[in-house]
Amino acid sequence: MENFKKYAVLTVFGLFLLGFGIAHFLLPDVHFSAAERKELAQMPTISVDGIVSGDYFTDTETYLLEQFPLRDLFLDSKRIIDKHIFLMQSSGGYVSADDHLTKLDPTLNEKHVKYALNIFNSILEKHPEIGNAYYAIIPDKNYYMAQVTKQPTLDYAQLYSMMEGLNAEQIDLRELLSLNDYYRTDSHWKQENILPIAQALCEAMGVPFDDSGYTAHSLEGFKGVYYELSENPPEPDTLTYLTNEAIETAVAQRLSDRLQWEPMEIYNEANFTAENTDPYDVFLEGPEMLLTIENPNAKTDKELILFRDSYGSSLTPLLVDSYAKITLVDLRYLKSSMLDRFALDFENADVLFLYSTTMLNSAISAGLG
Amino acid sequence: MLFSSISFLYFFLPAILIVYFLAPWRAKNYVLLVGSLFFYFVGEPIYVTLLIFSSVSDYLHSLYIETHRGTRGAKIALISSIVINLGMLGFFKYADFFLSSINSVLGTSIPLFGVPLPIGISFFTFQTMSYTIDVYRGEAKADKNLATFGTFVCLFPQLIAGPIVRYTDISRELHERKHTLEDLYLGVRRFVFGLAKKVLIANALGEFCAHYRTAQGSVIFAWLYAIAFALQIYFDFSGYSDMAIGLGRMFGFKFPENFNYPFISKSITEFWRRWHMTMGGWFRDYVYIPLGGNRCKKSRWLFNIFVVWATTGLWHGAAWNFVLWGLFFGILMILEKVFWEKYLKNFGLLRYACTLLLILLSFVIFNAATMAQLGADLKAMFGGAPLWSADTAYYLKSYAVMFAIALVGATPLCKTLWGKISARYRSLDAVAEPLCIAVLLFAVTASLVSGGLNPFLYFRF
Repeated sequence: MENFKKYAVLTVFGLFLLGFGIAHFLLPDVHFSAAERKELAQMPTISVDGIVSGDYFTDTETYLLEQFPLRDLFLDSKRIIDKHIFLMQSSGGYVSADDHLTKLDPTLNEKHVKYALNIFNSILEKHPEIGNAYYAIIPDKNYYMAQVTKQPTLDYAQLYSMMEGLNAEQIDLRELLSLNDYYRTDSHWKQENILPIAQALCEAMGVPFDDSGYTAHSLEGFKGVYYELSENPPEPDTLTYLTNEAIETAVAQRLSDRLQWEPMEIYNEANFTAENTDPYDVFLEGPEMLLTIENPNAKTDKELILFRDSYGSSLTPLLVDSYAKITLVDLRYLKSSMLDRFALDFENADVLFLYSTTMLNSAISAGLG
Repeated sequence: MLFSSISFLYFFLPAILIVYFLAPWRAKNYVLLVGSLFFYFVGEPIYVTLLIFSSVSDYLHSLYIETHRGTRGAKIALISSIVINLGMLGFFKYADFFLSSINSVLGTSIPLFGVPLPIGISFFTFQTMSYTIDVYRGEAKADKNLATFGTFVCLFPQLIAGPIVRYTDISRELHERKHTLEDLYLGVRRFVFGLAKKVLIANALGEFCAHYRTAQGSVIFAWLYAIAFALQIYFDFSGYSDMAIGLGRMFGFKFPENFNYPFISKSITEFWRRWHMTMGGWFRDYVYIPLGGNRCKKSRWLFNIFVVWATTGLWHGAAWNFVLWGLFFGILMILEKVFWEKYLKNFGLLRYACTLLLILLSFVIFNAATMAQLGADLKAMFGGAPLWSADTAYYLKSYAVMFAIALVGATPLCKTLWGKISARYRSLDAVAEPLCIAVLLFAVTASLVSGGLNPFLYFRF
């Protein structure tokens, strides 16, 4: 019996070590992970510089990790072990409660917030011809989720306090949202739930807003950014987008990578596919450095320049009827120093900085510039 | 390369095991030597030259000492070896520390060298120094074979994080060792349990300690942090030692034990007979006893303790909190021996509680990045924070099971129970143990693949 045990232990050990090692060599490398929405590392190229600096070995370790056989099974297993054996409240920083999923973000990065603040103020300083300047901070989902889970959160009070240094009028959105205004499996808010947000913004900016006359279009099976990161994901969300006459007749254009203006759809259902990494790209084609939406039949002839992150993609269509022209700038892809190259007309325009707490808290690493 | 990495577990280790066991006996040391040098090269492509230099230097020094035994030349060679080893350690590990301390105190701006610290330098310089000293003392014969000696120095299981293996510990095995099923089995078992201790327990406790730094503090959170860090460093280091001992066993070497359930100690003296035992032994044999130990005047004895503990602290890291940590233990040892041991010896539980409290405080000192942080941590522990906070509740709930596992695992209870059960239910044990190994390997792999927090704390040494 003793010998049986010894051989059994050695066999198990040998099977693990050899089995996975051989499987790695036999299986083809995977290029993209749908669960993680990222390109997976490929075998690095050997170079003398890489070896001497150690980068080659670091990159090889990353490659071996990301191409490990049955990777998704192991990732799921880790979550199950954390939640059901060690009874942890979160696994890998991901939390679930009331069918909602989110990622913990408990640390305020003041350096990042200050960095964003300085960029926004510098834009305002360079363009004194601006009509009115506003800012609105979108609380991330954790702000409301913490009321349910009591999870640690970043110091929102301090973040808001720091942003008061922006030379613009604040439009406070905190009381206008709740957890259910966000997708269960994604970090974003639901367009059908943010009409009050659009109304509050318009009222603050002194433009009319009409919350009636919308038609809802639903796309089932929206698996948000957190869906694959939970060991027990809830039902997929329903992505709903709203249209009205103004949205349907407005003309949208995007600045392509070749710096040419191209027409685009405000809502593009073609992006709601399994092949697309982020179905939320239904709204204004996802991340774009510069967009314009013009509505000659708008209730005003005013112009809005909106500095935004991805939350702005679903909010902006709701403002189309209130502004003759809305210019959307994503400072992650179009640096503030380059704005003048694109002849944005700040003269008497309303300027709105609309950013989530997540973006402000990671402004430097997000590439805001 | 870390033992707890995919590249080591699933590529390097199976490859070297296969090549080693297929190689003829005469080639086995060469396989280990080449494999070990490659192992170090992956982590330190440039500093592998330092490892080779250290090996060749002490090989030559020791041969000279042996052939000139009893002469002045032998003594000079010994001093030369010590100076070279301590010089290397001093330059790479301490030069910038001392320079920046001088700059702080004197307001000067002496430029720092900015030299990266070679991994494991504290371990392999101590190892080669002990060899030369042992040869000088006549306790070991100089190895005439450079490859065999190189194998001793570079042996990858213990190269970068100990245990500090002396030449005399494995000299017989270097020249003639057997490979048995029993050794392979015990080695694998020890390795897997060590791996689980490091990856599943130590890393999770490390996450808890990281949360402490960013969360809303409280007195209770501060104490939980102290407990968590003490357990983290225990499971991290003892887990790594287990892996090293297990790997050594697989290749036919019996390394000395390094940990023996230190948290059941009833005194600080006992703690240091159970914690990092090979390092404690090294300082005893090569610093404390040569200085005179306790066989001298009381003032000299106190000085000896001061030197040993200051250097022990400094060995752990080039920062003043480590020196403070070492001196903290030095003072405690003195007080224990001179004052309170005789009063406390009849109060078992009180002795144990006091010892544990002091150990926890010592690890708070150990882990402080700066003196200011140390002050803040101690203040929080002793009332300088609210008693409780929402974050404390959240993290305690999240890590309660992990704390329970770690607290029980830090005692001999599990080993004792397992021993009793396996002796009584042999058939069950024959199935349960391999199943346990499989489950642990699976869980460890899941943790590694998820790319969790996985630094080994003692690498900075």
